[in-house]
Formats: sequence, structure tokens, C-alpha cells
Amino acid sequence: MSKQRPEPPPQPAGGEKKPAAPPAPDAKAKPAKAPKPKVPSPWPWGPFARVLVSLLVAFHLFVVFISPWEIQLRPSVVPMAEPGGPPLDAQGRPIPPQQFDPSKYPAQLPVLPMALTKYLHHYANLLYINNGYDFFSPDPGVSHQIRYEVFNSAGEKIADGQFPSRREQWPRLFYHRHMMLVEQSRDPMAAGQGWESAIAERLLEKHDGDRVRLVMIRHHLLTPQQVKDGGRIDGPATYEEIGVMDHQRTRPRAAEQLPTGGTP
Amino acid sequence: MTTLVASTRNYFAELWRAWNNFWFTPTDPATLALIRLLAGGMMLYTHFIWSFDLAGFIGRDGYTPVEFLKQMPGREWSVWSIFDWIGPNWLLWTVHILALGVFLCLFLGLFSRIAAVLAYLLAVSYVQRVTPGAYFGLDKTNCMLAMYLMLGPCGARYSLDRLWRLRRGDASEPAPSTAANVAIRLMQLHLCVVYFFSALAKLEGNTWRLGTALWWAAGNYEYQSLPLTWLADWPILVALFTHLTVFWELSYPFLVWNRFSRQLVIWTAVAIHGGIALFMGMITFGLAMIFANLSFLKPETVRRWVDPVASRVSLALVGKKVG
Repeated sequence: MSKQRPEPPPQPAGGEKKPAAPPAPDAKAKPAKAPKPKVPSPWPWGPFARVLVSLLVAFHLFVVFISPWEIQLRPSVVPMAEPGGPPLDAQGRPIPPQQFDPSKYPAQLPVLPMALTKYLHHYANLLYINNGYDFFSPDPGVSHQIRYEVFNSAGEKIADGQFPSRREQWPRLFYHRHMMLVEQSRDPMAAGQGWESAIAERLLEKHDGDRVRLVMIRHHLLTPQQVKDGGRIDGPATYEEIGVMDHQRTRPRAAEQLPTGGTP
Repeated sequence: MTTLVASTRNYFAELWRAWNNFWFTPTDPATLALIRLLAGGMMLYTHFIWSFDLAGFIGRDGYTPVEFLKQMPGREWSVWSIFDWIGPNWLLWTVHILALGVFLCLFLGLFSRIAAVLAYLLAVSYVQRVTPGAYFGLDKTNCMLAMYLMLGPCGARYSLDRLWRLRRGDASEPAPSTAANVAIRLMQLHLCVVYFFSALAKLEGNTWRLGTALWWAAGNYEYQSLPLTWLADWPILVALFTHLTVFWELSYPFLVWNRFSRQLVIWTAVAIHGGIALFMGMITFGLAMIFANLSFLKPETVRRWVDPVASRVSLALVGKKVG
């Protein structure tokens, strides 16, 4: 674990410099200089290859840098108001930024990162370097769960379970995928896009059910004082039901999709 | 004036020389080969886990159906995945098994360079299929490592390719490689960007600035893999580790290049990611980040640690010792 930097190399390759022009025939004879010994280049790649690769790595690293910059600033749009001096309402109270009139107070946008990523984001997308690297930030948050019950056409329960569940999902990485599935479906950006319906449809397909009930749960965190007072981080009081959804199958069953006289 | 021009010209000549030294000095591919071995193993495991519910997570009509994802904002043509075009379950499983074969080849160092290119394309395909859906930091690190592994001779050491060459009578040492250096440098710089922006994102959060973030992360039952609620009695410790994390991430891109501070920075990385692996249930993510940090290891150090093991393996397999 130490330096990757190599020793200072000898002078650059002689091949990089133009050869000196031959002296004119009528030029004054100068004392002949001893020819410089030709030192091999410490870099096996020629100058053209090095310049080309330099440009490519500079471009690539530029996109690696601007992608998280733009992604992190994307949700930070705030109204164009004097910093530290918010407009006041009739009673002299500061108006919350969410209630600002957008015609008077247009949004402040991260102009530079947006301009840089306008076209370059395709390169970032293609290479999957379009990441924000915002691990546990801006603040670590609460967790969520989805409990489900699947019913058949007669209304009998044929399966139930929970995402995530250490008992049902193992190994740990498999559990973590379910955890991420629930968390990302609870993301405000995903709200109202029908993610729960997609999960419900998949559960119906998996268990060959007709109806599924999803219960969305928020798992609250305890303060250090609450823990010192005897609270358990998995205690029943820490779970809050935040929504229930009943979903009927909309996709036809695989067997129903087959044409008559299909597979044997 | 002439002196000014000459000194400016000298400055840029020096700069160009330093740039060339940084990027284009050939290096022993040992570090790249070690990262291939470890990251290849991690990618094999990561993608094997999808097998537990392949149709659910990767299948076209899984928990995040392809049509549903296509409606998401930001899902443009450049966000690509081969799984967007794979419908039938048998085809999905065929591609998945072939992909596991590719990751196995990368891990073992068999057809290493081809395997590295395919592994990168496949890893991106899997993660784009579950973004958003079930991705997390592990996938970002896997893709980052795979992207740079394919640029250099990642199978030059610690690989079946090397043993195969040895078996055919080619016992020559792998030559120092410029491509290996470029790959390692990109890995190092990309890692610096990751930590820098991770720190900037944390600075937006009150809990990180106040010093309580570690409690809220550690007191999360869904993450916790070892009991951490005893931290409730140690607010000073919580604050210390919270601030340490932010300052370490923020200073990483600057201190990791200095030979005096590098050891401290890298060992802190091992401690923090090791802690995440042990206590927060993210063993895979913690290990993957430690593997990425190995890019700062000197090839001589890698060889001192890994060659004895590699020699024993080669002795057992082909009857000759080789690194």
C-alpha cells in the first residue's frame, strides 16, 4: 500500500522532437556538437497514442465527476429569493418556500451541472456511471415493509409473507434486494406510479392467486433515550401501518394466454 | 520576456512529463489481477443470488415490469439492458446461466480479457434492469470495477490463463503493462470521486453534521446484523464515528495520494467498510469497496502477499511454481 508513482524518468523520447534541419551549405562552420545519446522513452506508447488516450481519460473522468454533481443537485431546486430574507405575508410572517409564487420567484437551478450533463448524460447512462453516490444521505431514514396475503378465486388465503423478512429471504444479499425493492418503491419520486400494483401482480403470478392484499408499513427508529428507557428497535410500537391495497389480477394467467390446442 | 516564455514552456513540459508518468508508465499487472480475482468472485456471487427469484427481479413482468420502468422519468434510450428484450422464462434462464459462466471465467481468469468485457456488459444489464427496483451501492462498485478491469491485462497473473501458458511451456514473467496502469489509475480516480460526492451528499444532512447519523443507521433494525443498540449509552462514540466518516470521505481524494497519509486513509477505509459489512448486514458491499481500495496497493506489495498462495496453487495444478 504505497506509492504507485514511478521514479522520475529520463528525458522524453527523442522521437517526440523534430529532427534538426541540415545546415545550409554556405553557413559558417560551427564547432561540431557531440551528438546527444538517444535515450529510450520510458513510455512504450507513442506520443499520438498517449495524446489520444489522455483526451479519452480526461473526457471520461470529467463525466464521472459531473454525473454525481448533477444528480445530487437535481432535487435541490429552490425559489429565487434573497438568501436569509424570505418574503413575508400580510401578518409579517415568513412565507414557506413551497408557497412562493413561481412567477415572482422562479426556481434557482444548478445551471452549470445541468448544462454539462445535457448531452453528456447519455455517455454516463451507457456506461452506468450515472450515479449520485449518496450512501445513507442526506440523512439515514426509516425503513419500510410490505406484508402481503394472496387469495384464490374462492377467497381462501393461499400465501402470505413479508418484504423484507430475514426468515423468508436468505442469504443476506437476497434479503437486501427485497429491502431495496420496498425502499425504492416508497421513494417520493416513485409515488403514484403504480409500483405497488406491479408488485401485487408479480405476487399473484408467483402464487397463482386471484387477489392480493398489500399492507404498507413504516418502521420507525428509536432515539437513544427511548432505547435506554427499555424500548426495542423491533418492538410492535415501532411499526405503523401507512396503507392497505387490495388488488385483483389483471394479467391473464400463462395458461389462459395459450391458443386452443397449444402445448401438449 | 524570453525567460518568462522559457519558464512557461518548461512548466508545461514538466506537466506533460508528470502526466505521462502518472498514466503511461508500465506497471506490473499484479494489482489489476488481484482485483480481477476478488471482484470476479464478488460478481459471480452477486449475480448468482438473482437465481433465487430470477423472474421476480429480472424477468420482463417481475416486480418492476419493463413497461413500467420505461415510463419512469429519465429512462432514456441510453439506459439499456439486454433483459429489456428477453421475454420467455427459458431464455431468461439461459442468458442468466451463460452470464454466471462469464462471471466464473472472470473470477478464475479464463479468457480473462474477453470475460472482463462481457462481465461488464452483463453487470450493467442486470443493474439497469433493477434501477430503480433493487439496486444499491454493491452494483455501482461491481460495474465500476468491471469497467476498468476490461481495459488492462487483468488475467496476466493469478489466473487459469497464466497457468495455461505455463503448461504450454511459456514460463516468462508477465511484462509491465501501460494498459494495466491506465486501468488502475482510472479505478483510483473514480474511487476518489465516489468518496468526495458521498461526503458532499452527507454534508446536506443535519444528522451527519450534528454527529448522530451513525445512531440512526445503526439503530435501523432492517439493516442491523449485529446488535448495535448499546451505542445508545455512547453518544460521544456515535458522534466521533459520524464525524470521522464525513471527514475521511471528504479528505480521501486529497490524502490518498500522499505516501505518508495513504496508509492511514486506506486502513480507515478497511475499518469503515469492514464495520458496514459486519454490523450493517452489507457484507458484499463492504467487501466490494475494500476491493476497490486495493487499487492503491503497489504491485510489489500484492506480489509479496499473493504470490506464495498463487505458487502453491500452480504447483498443485501444473507442477510448477508461478505467481
